[in-house]
Parts: sequence; C-alpha cells; structure tokens
Amino acid sequence: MSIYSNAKISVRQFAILIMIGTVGDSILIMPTITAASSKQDAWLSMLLAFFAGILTGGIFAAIANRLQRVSLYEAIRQRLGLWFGGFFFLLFIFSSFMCILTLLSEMSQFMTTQLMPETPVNAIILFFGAVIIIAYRYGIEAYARMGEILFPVMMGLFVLLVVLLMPQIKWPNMLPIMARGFLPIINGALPAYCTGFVEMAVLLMLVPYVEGNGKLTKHILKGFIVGGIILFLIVLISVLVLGPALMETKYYPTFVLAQKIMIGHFLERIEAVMAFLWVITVFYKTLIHFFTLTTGLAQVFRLKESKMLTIPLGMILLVCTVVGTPNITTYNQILIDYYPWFDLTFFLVLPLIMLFLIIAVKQKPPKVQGQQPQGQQPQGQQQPQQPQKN
Amino acid sequence: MLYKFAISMLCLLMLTGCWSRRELNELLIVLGVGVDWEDGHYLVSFQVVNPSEISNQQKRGDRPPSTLFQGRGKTLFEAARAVTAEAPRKVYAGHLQIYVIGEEAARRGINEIIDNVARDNEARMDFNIIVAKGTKAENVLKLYTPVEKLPSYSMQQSLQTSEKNWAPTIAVTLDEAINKLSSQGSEIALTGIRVIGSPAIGETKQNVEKFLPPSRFRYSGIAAFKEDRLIGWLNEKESRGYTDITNNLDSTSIAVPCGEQRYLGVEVTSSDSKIKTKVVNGNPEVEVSIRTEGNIVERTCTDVDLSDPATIKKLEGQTKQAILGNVEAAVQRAKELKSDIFGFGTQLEKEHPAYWNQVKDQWREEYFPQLKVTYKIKMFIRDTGTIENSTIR
Repeated sequence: MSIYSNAKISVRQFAILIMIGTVGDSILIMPTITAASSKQDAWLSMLLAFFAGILTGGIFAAIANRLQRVSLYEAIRQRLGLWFGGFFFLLFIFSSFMCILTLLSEMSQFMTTQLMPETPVNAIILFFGAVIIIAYRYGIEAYARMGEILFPVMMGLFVLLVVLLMPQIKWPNMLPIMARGFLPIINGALPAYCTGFVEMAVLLMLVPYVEGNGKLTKHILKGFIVGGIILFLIVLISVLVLGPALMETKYYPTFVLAQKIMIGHFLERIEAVMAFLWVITVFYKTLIHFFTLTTGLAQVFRLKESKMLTIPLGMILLVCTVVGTPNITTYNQILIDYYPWFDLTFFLVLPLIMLFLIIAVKQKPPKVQGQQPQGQQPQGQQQPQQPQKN
Repeated sequence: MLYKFAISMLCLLMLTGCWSRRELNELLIVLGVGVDWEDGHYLVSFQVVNPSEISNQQKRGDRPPSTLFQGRGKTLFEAARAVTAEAPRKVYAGHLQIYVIGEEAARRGINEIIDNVARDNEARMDFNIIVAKGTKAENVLKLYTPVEKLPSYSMQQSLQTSEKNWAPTIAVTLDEAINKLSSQGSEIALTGIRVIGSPAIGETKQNVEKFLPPSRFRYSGIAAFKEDRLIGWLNEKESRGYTDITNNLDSTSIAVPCGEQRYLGVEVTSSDSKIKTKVVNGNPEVEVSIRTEGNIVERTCTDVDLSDPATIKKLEGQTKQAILGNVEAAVQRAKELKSDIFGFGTQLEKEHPAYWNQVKDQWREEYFPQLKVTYKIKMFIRDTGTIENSTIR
C-alpha cells in the first residue's frame, strides 16, 4: 500500500475538502427536499440535520483517529480477512459509485433545465466527468491544494449571495413555526441529513494521506460545522426570501435565489456567476467519491496504480447515469423516497460496523500486527477464520 | 508524437464553438407577452424589440420600435412555437418586462398560464403580471407610447411608479403570484390595464405625433380572483383600500372636503399596515392597524387656519375618515366577491395554525364573508409645505 500513501495533504486542506464536500450538491437541492415535507419549517429540519450531522462527524472522527493513518481497507482486512473484508469494503465502494451517479445526474439536470436546455446531458456529464478524471490523475495533493485556492472563491460567492439577498428578507415567511407538529420536520431532516452529512463518510478514505499523527476530530468537525452552517443559511434564506411555496415548486431554489438578487438596477442577473459556487462544491464532492471508488478498487484488487481505472470507470459512470435516471421525476423519487435509506445503510451502518470492528479487535493487537508486515496472500487467506473464532 | 497529434485533434473539437449558443442577432427579445383565450385556443402575442429602431447610432424611424408576433395553439407552448411561422427568429424571454393576461383568459383561470411561465427556464421572476380590463391583451401591446419608445417598458415603469406614488395599483411579480396561488388563505389580485381613446389610432405612428396621444394605456382598478379565476373588479376607491390594507401603499394623495366643491390636498408620505387576527368564541376576528403620515400640500379653503394645532388635529381626523372609507369599501367588496385578496386567512394561519386547520376548507365560502374586521387607523400630519397660511386672499 505504500505506493498510495506517499502523497500528503495538510490538516487544513483535509478540513476544506470535508467542508466543500459537505456543501456538495446539497446546496442545490437542500431547500427543495426539506421544504417538500416541512414547508416553512425547512430551516428547523436543516437545524436538526445539522446537529445529527455533527454527531455523525464525531463517529467518523472516532474511526479516523483509530485508523492511525492506515488505509480503511487495510484496517478492515486486518480484522475481517481478505475475502470477507474485501467484500465488506466493496459494499462501501459500491455506495460511492451510486453516490457519484446521483451527483452526476444532479449536475447534468441542473445544467440542462436552467442554463443549457439544448445541450444533451451526455455532453455535460462527459465534460464534467473528464475534469474529474483529470483532477484524479493529478493526484490528491494537487486537488487538495486546488481546494485551498477555491475555498475563498466559494466563500466569497456564498457571502455575496447571502448579503445581497438581505434586503429581500420577509420574516413573516417563517410563520407559523411548527404548526403541523414534529413529524414533518423529522421527515424533512432525514434526506437533508443523509445527503449533506452521511454521504461524507468517504472522508475516511482521505485519512491515510493526512500528514502527521495527530487526532483528526477537530478538523473533521470543523469541516462539518462550516459546511453545515452554509447549508443552514441557504435553507433559512430560501424560506425568508422565497417562501415555502416557491421552495417546494422550483427544482433549484438556490438558483432562483441568485436570480432574485437585484440591487438598484445595476447589480442583477448574476445567477450564472453564482452557479460557479455549486459547480465547485458538486465537483469536489464527486471527486472525493470518485477517489474512493477508484483508489478503493485498486486497493482491493492490489493494483500497482489506479490511474488506469479512471477512464473505464468514467465510461461506466456516464452510461449508468443516463440509464439510471432517465428523467427528473424518477430521479427525484429516488432521491427523496429511497436514497436516504440507502445512504443510512451504506454510509452510516457500515462505518458503525467498522468502528465496532476496530474497537473490538483492537484488544488483540499482537495477532494483527504480527501478520501485517508479511501480508501475503497465503497468510491472508487464513485470516478470515481468526477474527471469526474470536 | 501520437500524444501531440491526439491533443491537436481534440483541440479541433473545441473549434466548433458553443453547443447551444444563441447570438444576439438570432434572438427575438421579448419585452411583453399577451395571452388571450379565443374560441378554444390560446392566442399568444409577443411584443419584441426592433433593435435597429431603438439604437442611438442610426436614426431610421420608418418602423415601429417594437413588433407584435402572434401564434395560436391549444397550449401556450404550441402558440409560442407557432410564432416562428411568422417571425424570422426564435423568441427569447429573458428580458420579459410585462405579462398581460386578457380578461377572458383571466376569467377562465390563470393557473395554467402561471404554470407555463414558471416552468420556462428563460423567463425570470421579476416581470409584472397585469390583466387587460375589458379588452384583449393583444390590444394593450400594440400601442405607440410617448416618452419611452418601448411600450412594454413604458408600461412596467408606469406600473412601478404609480405603485409607489399613486395608491390603486400593485406591481405583482411571478414569485408573488405563485405564492398567492399556492395558498389557501389568500387570493391573488392583479392590476388592470385599459386602453383609452381610439385604439385604431394607437396602432399608428400618429399616436405619438400629437401632444396628447389619442390612444393611451391607463392602469385602472384591481382584479380580484377566486382560486385562479377572475371574478370581479375593484374600483379606484376600493383599490386604494386594498393597497392600504396589504401594506403596498407608500405614497398617495387624499382629498379632504372642506367646503362647497372644495378639497384640501393631503399627501401621504408613508403608510404602514399590520394585520392581526384573533379567535373569539370560535370565530375569527381581524384587526387592521394602519399608521399613516402625511403633509398638507393644498389649502383650498381660506377658513382653514393652518397656524392652529387644533385644525391639524381636525384635519387628521378627516383624513382618517377618508382612509377608513377606502378600506371598509375594499373589505366590503371582497366579502361580496368571497375573495380573500387581503390574505387574512394566511395571517390567521400564521398566528393561529391549529384553528386555521379546522376552518380552512370553509374559509372562502363561510368564514371570510362573515369575518369581523376592525380598523385602527392613526394619521399624523407633519408638515404644511413651505408655507403656513398663505397671504393670498
């Protein structure tokens, strides 16, 4: 595995990647998916999702700290053995694959409905995917640094969006608060929590590349908190400026927000510039998932290098995106009704099992450490039985 | 070598230009849209800019500043595409200023019209929606207008200026319309526009060659809707009451009678209104509080002594009565039409959500027409212009 771990990113870059990933595609769809169930209480849903997200961040941090810069696959393999551990890890990778499909659909649908209606989705996915593949091939150091550069751009656009909309805030839009009880709020919080925070379980894949040996809790939580606050503000300002009816009606309320900006008669029609904000965030989220998918596959199948996987995977993703989400109605149904449960199963339950494994097996370190340096196939095959006997 | 060749070949792909590019000279820039319902079809009129006529460089002047293209169809989209049978280019709605709905189409229902524009990706949300009163939308859009060359622009500016400075108009944008149409507790109301004078001349250039254009547009009255159908018009007095209650009134003029055919002019400089709801013995009650400030701008009657604070007090009382008359008339009319254009229901929902859930289904038919509305109006006269009592006798 040493070939993958000589690249290093700083803790600051790590936190920024988590933060941009948390904002991800959520910034585009969060207002709709929360308002669909909780109407004017969408911001409460988001707040609930935010607190749940911080807790989840804690869980991920617990795993990340215990990994001690060993790759996630290695950690699982040490506990579950080659076959069972490999299968377990493939499940995790598979969910990343699914997640990329939703992200690519999201991006291409946004482009075709709002900005470029005559361009075929294939073309948009092709170019978006091409950039992701190129970024991946440059390596984690390069795009982590790029994230550091884009971070102020993104924050600047976000602050601009919020500040320029301040004059249009209508406080009565918030009322009545919690008129229909707590259940709709929870219903709205669930998809928000899943798309925003649970999907960031892939940050565990970045852990081996973070420099130093310090605890990562602070940096993971920092990323989650900043990202969560951005999402919360977006939902809040959608409620205050657009009102629940528009939030629910329009597919991309954030884009409508950007359209609403009108200061005097000169600072208006800047939505295409604002769109850059979520192009950045969706790009990074997709990239981190793509990183998980490609690097994960290379680790499981013990490939010397993972770059050769990028183009075939990109082709598979392109086709699957178009086939998997033939129209926006199907996509929205999947996203709101089914996808949260998928996320919970693969990105929350799986990491919880991992955490359990890591803690439980940690009590017998000599066995694991004794076999680690050899780590060859004949011995690896014996491994599955050892933890199971325990 | 192969690598370089491949790269240069890939560059060729980029040279073909943008995919769905649409250059300025391929666009028909739509400023105004008119929708009419005619014999089971939609008739959509697009008022588009004639770019060469409004440019400052070449003064041609032999064509109108904008042209009307029309299309018919069973759906609005079909009608919009049918336009290309006449028009040389495809329409572009990104600069839409005003959306006129013909009275007949409005009486039929505007949900499908609003749905169509809201779904469109080109149209933004900042244009104003109005109703052509007693006429077809197309007639409103084919009119030479003075001062502003582009009629739609002229209409939008006029609407926004009059909303600010003259009470009985409201500039409703698409997002407000969607919010009102989605809510059970408030009905939509749109400003009406009429063409006055002789429409036949309005279509020709002679219209703007006269000092007083023989044919003009004029905003008049507010159309009240029930669900999505137009059911009646508010007259000017009621429209003023409407804008006052809904806090759309900024500045206006109020005439206070002070003698035989004489009126004292009061300029309203600011007006704020608040709607409060109560539930008393299971019945909803609404309290409308309005706080208005104004100045005296005309002293027509010499016996009004503006140097005496008591006179001001008296005038405040009289102005208050005038405002009260407007708002009562508005509420009365809305109750007759069973159309809660003020959004009292929405306010009730915000303040008493549990109660609202019980009454919302009967709100339109039972509760709103019998709603008890009380008014609390405060009027302050602050200034009397640059003079007190003038020495003119």
